[in-house]
Amino acid sequence: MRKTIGFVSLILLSCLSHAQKFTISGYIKDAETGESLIGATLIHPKTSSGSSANTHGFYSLTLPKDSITLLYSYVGYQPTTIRFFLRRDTVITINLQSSTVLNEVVISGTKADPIHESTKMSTLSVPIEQIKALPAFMGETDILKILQLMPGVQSGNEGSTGLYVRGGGPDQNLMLLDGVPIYNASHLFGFFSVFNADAINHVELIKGGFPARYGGRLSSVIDINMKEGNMKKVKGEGSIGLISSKVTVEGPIIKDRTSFIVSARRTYIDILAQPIIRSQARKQGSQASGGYYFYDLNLKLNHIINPGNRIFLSTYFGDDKAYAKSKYTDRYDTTTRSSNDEFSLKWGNVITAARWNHVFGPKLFSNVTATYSRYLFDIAQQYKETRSTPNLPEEITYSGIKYHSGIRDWAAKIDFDYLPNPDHFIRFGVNNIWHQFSPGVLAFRSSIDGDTTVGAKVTSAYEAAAYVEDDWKISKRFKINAGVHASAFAVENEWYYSVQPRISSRLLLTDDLSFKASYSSMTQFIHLLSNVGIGLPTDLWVPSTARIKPQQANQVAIGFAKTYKSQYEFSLEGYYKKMTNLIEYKDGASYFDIEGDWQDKVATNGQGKSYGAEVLVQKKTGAVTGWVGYTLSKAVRQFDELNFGKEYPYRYDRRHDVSVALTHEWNKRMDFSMVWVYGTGNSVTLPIATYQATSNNLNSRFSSYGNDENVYYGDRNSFRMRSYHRLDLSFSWWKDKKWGQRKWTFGLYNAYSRLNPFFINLEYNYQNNPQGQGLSKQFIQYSLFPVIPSVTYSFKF
Amino acid sequence: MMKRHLIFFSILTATAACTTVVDFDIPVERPKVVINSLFSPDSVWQIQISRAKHVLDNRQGSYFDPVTDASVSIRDQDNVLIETITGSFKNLVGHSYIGKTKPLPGKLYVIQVEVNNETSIKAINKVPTLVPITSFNIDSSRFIAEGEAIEIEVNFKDPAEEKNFYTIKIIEDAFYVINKDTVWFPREIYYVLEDPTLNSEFSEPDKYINDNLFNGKNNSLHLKIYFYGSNFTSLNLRLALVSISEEYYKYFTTKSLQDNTNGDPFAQPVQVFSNIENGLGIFAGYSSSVVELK
Repeated sequence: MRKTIGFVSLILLSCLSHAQKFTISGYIKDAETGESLIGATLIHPKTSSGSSANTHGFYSLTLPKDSITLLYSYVGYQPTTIRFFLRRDTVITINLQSSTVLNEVVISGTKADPIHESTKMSTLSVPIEQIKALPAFMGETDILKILQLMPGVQSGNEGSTGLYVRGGGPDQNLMLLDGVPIYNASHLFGFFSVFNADAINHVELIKGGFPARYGGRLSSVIDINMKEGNMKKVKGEGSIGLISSKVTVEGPIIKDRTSFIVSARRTYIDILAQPIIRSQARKQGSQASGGYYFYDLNLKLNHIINPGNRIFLSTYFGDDKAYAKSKYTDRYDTTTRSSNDEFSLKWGNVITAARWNHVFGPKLFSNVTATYSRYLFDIAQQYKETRSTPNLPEEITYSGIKYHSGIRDWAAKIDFDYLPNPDHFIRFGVNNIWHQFSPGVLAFRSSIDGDTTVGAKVTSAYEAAAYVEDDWKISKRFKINAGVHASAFAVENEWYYSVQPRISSRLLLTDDLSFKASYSSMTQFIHLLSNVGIGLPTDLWVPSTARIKPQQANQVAIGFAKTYKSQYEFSLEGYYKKMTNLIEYKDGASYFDIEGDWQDKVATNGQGKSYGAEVLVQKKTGAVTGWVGYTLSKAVRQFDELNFGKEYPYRYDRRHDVSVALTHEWNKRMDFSMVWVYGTGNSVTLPIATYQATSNNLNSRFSSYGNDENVYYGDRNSFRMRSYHRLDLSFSWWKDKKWGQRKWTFGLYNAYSRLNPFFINLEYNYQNNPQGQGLSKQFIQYSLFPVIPSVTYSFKF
Repeated sequence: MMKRHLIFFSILTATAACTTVVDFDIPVERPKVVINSLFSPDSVWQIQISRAKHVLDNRQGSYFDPVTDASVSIRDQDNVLIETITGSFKNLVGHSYIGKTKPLPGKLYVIQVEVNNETSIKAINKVPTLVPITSFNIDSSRFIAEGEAIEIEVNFKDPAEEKNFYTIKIIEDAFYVINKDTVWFPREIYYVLEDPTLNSEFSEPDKYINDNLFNGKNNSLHLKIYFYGSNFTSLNLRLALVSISEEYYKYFTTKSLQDNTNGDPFAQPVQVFSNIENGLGIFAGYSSSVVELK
């Protein structure tokens, strides 16, 4: 604690030592839409001082009284220079012109916030336009699938949107949409994510060297900001694809004061299949309907009250729903019997955020946020039969089963950005979350046996956090981001506390090469119980309890960052991460087996370890953009109760991982993109022997019901599936129309139709059954997707 | 168990799931010796010894090579030799080595098996103390119609000083006629355990119970047996409250889990518990308290 006070005093002293200076502050925006440009930079070349816009586009830079020149820049935008004499605190809102609006094919804009300059490490951002230009599975652009192509991020199973960052689990990612956590980011059993790229402004992935303002998860932060809505004029875009259609409309309600954005997406296989299902049912003398769809809706309102105050209201809601209904009627003698059978499966998120930005002065900016987040999984089946006989009372019998689980959060937080001088960017704030966990409740209804409800009780918890961090330029060459994140968690009369120091630093070795190092300590108070690694909606969020301790991680990373010719970013990083108090379902436990407490079904006090090296070469500007990444890594787990206490490879331990993602814009109307990925096969547990079982049947010990042979498995995850590789291609061309622009995109997923492993099963070979021999056994690899072509029609107006 | 992935499988089959035969380098090593012995004071020692086989061994089903040349020694907790059984003709029934003595309740036993020049195989376990059924209630007077159940309440006192594990059996003396001779044999009857906190989807059809919820207390279990048009009084039923050792409990609960997850490629495979040092299988004791259901 004494050290922390000393550190803060040092920062304050350093801040006060600067005097006779004035501050330039304001917002950096897109000239055409009024959208905030998150991370846009301004530089004062004379002193090499600079600053960057925060997540609301606000910036602040304090300089000595003088004649000054400021250079504002952002990727994909024309840099703008302004000159004036700084004699008082000045507010300047800069509107940058998008390069694509200009008549240029090759974007050669100044590189904003060069990688070697920043204290950030293990942090990746991909421009949203680049994300949308890359090939997409079934034509459906997915932000998380693009992030999977980054070094240090594994994708889990084929087609899944799961993220496994530096050996961490899918629950260890803090996915923020406009600052609100999303608990289950998957649609269609994980094949698509909930993030609609048309509504997104900015995406950033942090894998290590976490700034103190983030907390609550161990392995990554995926910070996604929705667009704010065009302040200048009404604009729209949309697309019609194989899987879904979507439309986005944005525009001013009051020009330059109030704007809105609405974005909606829905799949429609269920609608197309409905006539077929009905006609099939009719042939069998019944009425039936059924199908599956998902939808999501993003809404945002943005109002500038005055230059110092701005409010936002944003909401997301999306559901996946599978349903089947059938109705059957028949008659015998004078009795009419009609039956109704209904099944539904539904899961989805709702998040809502209200935010108020307030500028206290040119050096102090605040953001107050109140949020609500809810994830719910619901499965229900009911059957009702009615028998009607003249002159007799109607007989009704019914039965039903309903299972639901979920998590709700109410949160309030306040964050401050304080920029006392060009050498310091101080952030501090507090955050409070009220969690409510419903870890699985099963209800039965029956006209015969009555109603029963069983399952775990609803648990409430309170989580609070406070942080302070400073991005501190100690000298021209040495800069650090140091801070501390303190958090507390209250559940079942138990309090957990955690103080998590964070530091990342960069040392400029040359003008375009820096050495970076970071350390971060992270604590996570909530856990995800997952049966399988395929991101099923049945995964349960549960809190730390008196028995289940919070997860913790410590990570160190070192690396080099270099910018080459202002266009290429090169980074090389090595990391080591240790995780403790992990939990996992015991072997064979099931989410549906809800009799008893979930805490009895998990193995606790797990340890995790991962280390590796990552190389990334990225190009964000020019006719050809994209990146090449390589990861060499190892991730292991150890639980006393699993694998006989021996350490074993993590399910997504992947020794080698290569990704190449490139987009070539030939001219203003055509672009071509490709993605190629290669990864070492996933680890898998396989049977190696069988042996004679014994039976509990008293009179037949050695052959009875139940299998009379047991399977002996090798060590957990001790075998490797075949390696995974895949090439995706995409070709698009635009055409200007009177009403706007249209685009056709043709894509090929898995262009050379590689049969990648999805799972391995041991099966009998029925083809080869020589006389006198039993059926031979063989391992069969199941693959999901061969080559899949797609076509998408998009438009903009 | 498969039901939890039913939806996913549906999607899987709806998409073009392709299959490929793949080779894995499963190590071929000398198969482990497997020992299976569940022992109680009601019968003489019976130890089945066989060899495991490679997972791709295509000798079908449950054929396992018996080990007929082993030497089995049984000692008590003070290392006093109780008896030695060798693989001679008179001692072998099927794969099983049959002894002459019976285990005693509450005693700990060590088994050591020597096979050729291999590392000796060892296991240790005890016969749990018998927990008597203190009383039971059954409405045996009425006629049980088709689809109806008869309820049985079983009462016993769980010993406080130790962790206890149980299984319950309902046994019918059934018979078959061969060459006009009636041959009687015991047959286990399926039942439903009514208390949901003790039941588990994995332990069907057998039920394994631990005393976590009633340690040291008088406890009642409620069972239901379904009959189809039988007069209960015509049946010869016995109920056994079987005290089993912790290893017995672990073996059968993990085996049930393995049987239930077998064939589900998304489930984490379950290793069946074994307490055989340098081998596989189970060496576990039990003792039964039996009442006639009249």
